[in-house]
Amino acid sequence: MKSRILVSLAVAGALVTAGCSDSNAPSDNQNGSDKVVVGFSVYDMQYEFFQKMEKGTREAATAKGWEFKLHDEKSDENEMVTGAQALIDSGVDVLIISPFKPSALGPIIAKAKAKGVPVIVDDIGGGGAPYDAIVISDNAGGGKLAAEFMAKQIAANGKTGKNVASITCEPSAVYAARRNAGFKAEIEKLGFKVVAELSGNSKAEEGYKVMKDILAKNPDVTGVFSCNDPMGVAAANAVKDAGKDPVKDIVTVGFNADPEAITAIKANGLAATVAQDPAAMGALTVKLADQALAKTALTFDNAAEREVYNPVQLISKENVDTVK
Amino acid sequence: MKSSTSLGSLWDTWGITAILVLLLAVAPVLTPDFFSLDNAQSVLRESAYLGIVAAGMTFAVASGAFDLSVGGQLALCSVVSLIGFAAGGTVLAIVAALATGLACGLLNASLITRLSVPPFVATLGTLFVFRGLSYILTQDGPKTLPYDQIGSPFVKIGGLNVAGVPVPFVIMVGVFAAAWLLLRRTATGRRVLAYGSSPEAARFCGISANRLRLFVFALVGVSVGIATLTYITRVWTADGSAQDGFELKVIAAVVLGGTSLKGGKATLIGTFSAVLLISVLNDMLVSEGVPSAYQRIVLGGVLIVALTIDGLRTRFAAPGSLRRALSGGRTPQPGPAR
Amino acid sequence: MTAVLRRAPLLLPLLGTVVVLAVATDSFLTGANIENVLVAAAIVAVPGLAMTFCLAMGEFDLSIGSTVSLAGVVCCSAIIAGQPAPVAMGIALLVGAAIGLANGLVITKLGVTPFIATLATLVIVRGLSLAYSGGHDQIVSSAALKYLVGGRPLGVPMPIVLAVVATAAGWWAMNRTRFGRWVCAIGSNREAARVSGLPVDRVRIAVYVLVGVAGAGWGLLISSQLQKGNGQLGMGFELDAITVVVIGGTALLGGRASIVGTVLGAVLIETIRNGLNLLNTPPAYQRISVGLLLIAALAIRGIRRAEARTLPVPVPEAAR
Repeated sequence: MKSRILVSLAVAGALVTAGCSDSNAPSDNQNGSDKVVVGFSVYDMQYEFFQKMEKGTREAATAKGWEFKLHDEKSDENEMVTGAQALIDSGVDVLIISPFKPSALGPIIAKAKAKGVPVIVDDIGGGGAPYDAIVISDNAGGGKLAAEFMAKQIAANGKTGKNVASITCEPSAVYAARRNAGFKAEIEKLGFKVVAELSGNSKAEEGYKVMKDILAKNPDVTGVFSCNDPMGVAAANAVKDAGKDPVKDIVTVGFNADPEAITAIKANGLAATVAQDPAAMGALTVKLADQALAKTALTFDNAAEREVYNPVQLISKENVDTVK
Repeated sequence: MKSSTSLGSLWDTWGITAILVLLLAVAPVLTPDFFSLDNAQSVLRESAYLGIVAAGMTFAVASGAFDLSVGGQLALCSVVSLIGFAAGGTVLAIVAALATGLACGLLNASLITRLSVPPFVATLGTLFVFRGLSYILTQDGPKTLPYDQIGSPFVKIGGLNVAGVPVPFVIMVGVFAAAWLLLRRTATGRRVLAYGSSPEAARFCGISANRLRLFVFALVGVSVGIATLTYITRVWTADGSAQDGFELKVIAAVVLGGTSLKGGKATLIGTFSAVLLISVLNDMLVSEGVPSAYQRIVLGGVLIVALTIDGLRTRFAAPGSLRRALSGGRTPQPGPAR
Repeated sequence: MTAVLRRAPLLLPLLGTVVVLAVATDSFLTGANIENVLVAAAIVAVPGLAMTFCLAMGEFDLSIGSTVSLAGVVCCSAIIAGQPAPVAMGIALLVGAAIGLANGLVITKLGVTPFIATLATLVIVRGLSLAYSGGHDQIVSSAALKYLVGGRPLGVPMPIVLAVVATAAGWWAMNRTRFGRWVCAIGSNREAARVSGLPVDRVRIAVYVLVGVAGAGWGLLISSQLQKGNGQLGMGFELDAITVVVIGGTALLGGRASIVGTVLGAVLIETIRNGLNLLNTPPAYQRISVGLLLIAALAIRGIRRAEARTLPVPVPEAAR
């Protein structure tokens, strides 16, 4: 019996010692080769938003003649830390990361600092860690744009009701919550009241159900803002299924400008969305990475937090055709 | 017949370990960097928290139950531990994690024994409750280890190596060694197995079902508490959504290792190897750049293949033939399912 | 009255919840809201009924959430490819049946534990759904697909019609046919069932196919609501389906099933969810409430059973 444990330990030991014998080999290519290697750890490739971000980053990197290494965090903080640290171990010269949990950036950046690898954060948030720069969309500003549009559209619809609703992402998405906060602050300034603020946990299915509940409780709402497009389009579908129009009756606004939102806006199935440009954000991170590698001083929009803003834009029927 | 049974029992304990060794043998061919120090350390470090909880869960499964709340427990232990760290440093953080784990386990145990709620439903309910509590504690944002505390001994647990071996892995090995002694060398361990194979018979032998379940679920809670120490010091952050779906990963590792969901049969060596197998496989898929949609398909396929071997083995060992096994023949031998 | 309550013990907590919500909110007892709750309950009841057979057999199917996703993706991309909606829906149901058949064969012929077999198909089918959709939304605008949730034959919302038909069929199959008796017999003691000559494996495969088809149906209902399919839909739905069955009183060990209980379980869960939303409850407290409800529902039953017990009857084990 005892021998079983011993053998098991031996297997594990073999794994470790086998590792040790090779230990001189790694981190050669860190300075050895002259080709720059960039590692990009992405939030989750299931989502179109991050697929676009990956494309923008990869294209900008290959345009510079860099080697591009991708890691998918698959919406798991353990995988995020493990994989991003593995990228650093594999000898990347610079790390770009869109973190699933910004507050888990600490251990990654600690490792990067130890190896002298600059870290550029793309979107989501910086979690207070000492990254070199962060590219973010102006989330609160986007919520404000949504509120301004909604007020205008409600007036154009000839509605006088002052009740609106807000659908939030899952409670842990504190950065996405800024969109709802920005929306709420502005819409209340414009004289409206947010009568329902409920979470759809970022999921389309739940967004639909929550909107149904809102409509049952407050049939008089004249607008609804949702912190992402899957829930926004789902809410618009719920509005339609209740026999109302998501543009003319209940102004439904999403966030992200996902393809489904663009399609819906073209078909009058959604009033508006707030566009972030993930591909441009990706390209911007590569530019910042280049500057960080060249040790040139970076210019920030908000120097205290080392933030570089990528503008957001309101997309409605008027300008939807300008979106590719 | 004799040889096939002994082969079978050998497979029960060592099957997954054999597959792991095979995988390790081909790993360097498929992934040249696999045995680099950094990578080997990473593989051992990242799965420690899963392994530690799986060691505790092995007891629960061996007793014929399982604990679906471990994901919620991990979130709550992590959040409370981080609050403890902010308030009182390393010692309080460690105490907070362990105490919270124990408390969660005791709560589960008392729901099951005092209120007679079936373990499945009790722990499914507490999964929601623990996650909800974690959310309430993190309403102002996730709790984190502050970056300026990087030198604190607590923060170092996750990243430190002793003679090249990651500390989380050392802790995991220690937990497995202790668990093995508990299961194989103490009366309590034998009672867990006896209860798992036949609760009624165990009761007639004077084993108290309530005390046994109290022990098992408290043990799972404590294992989550220990796992938290290796988890939170690696990831540095937690809120209510930490490690969503953790429970299924843990149970999968236990069952993949060869512990029967029917209860009454447990192999900690199998659990240990299964945890490493999943970690190694994941590492290889990730470093080969396999798109994540296909990573899922491969991981699921491996689960089925491993369990199929186990299932077929049980059939071959039964007094039946290959033909009967493949035709799903009506052998009177109890199937492995259920 | 007591006889009714004994047969449907969930009526009491359900009535209590309804009374509380009727007092606490002014919008709960409106026609629109009641319809809202019943439609949501109907949508989860349909797969719940199929899952009732699975649990009655003492087994689980964890893969149903992924089936929801794949069925939606298959149906919507077939519509996009120009197939008429009914054909696309038929294909999706066939895909669900195929997943169920695969589950059933792996479990019966290869002897893999249902828990693990369906956990593995959960992961694999989710991967297939992501790969098949290329990670993109499959957006449709199909009136025929919309009819599944939007249609109102005789003024009754279509999901309710479907659920009523499914409940009647499920009740009949469970209580009035050989198939239902076999399912419960397998759940009480599979080896005894096998020895007495029941076609155990065929019944088990049939039940998994049933769950697969119901899961696909669930996916069609969701895709009908959202007018799209994608790889992310249906995550965690397996626990939703199992929860309504368990709350409804079907024994986790198998051998005992309550079709009416499953339907009431679905109504109770959706009533509480709706009520918490009407009360503007923050999500953290919503989770805790659902968890406590689960425990309470089963604790009450557990205590009642403990009181009724005269002999040391073993307490049912957890999920095997």
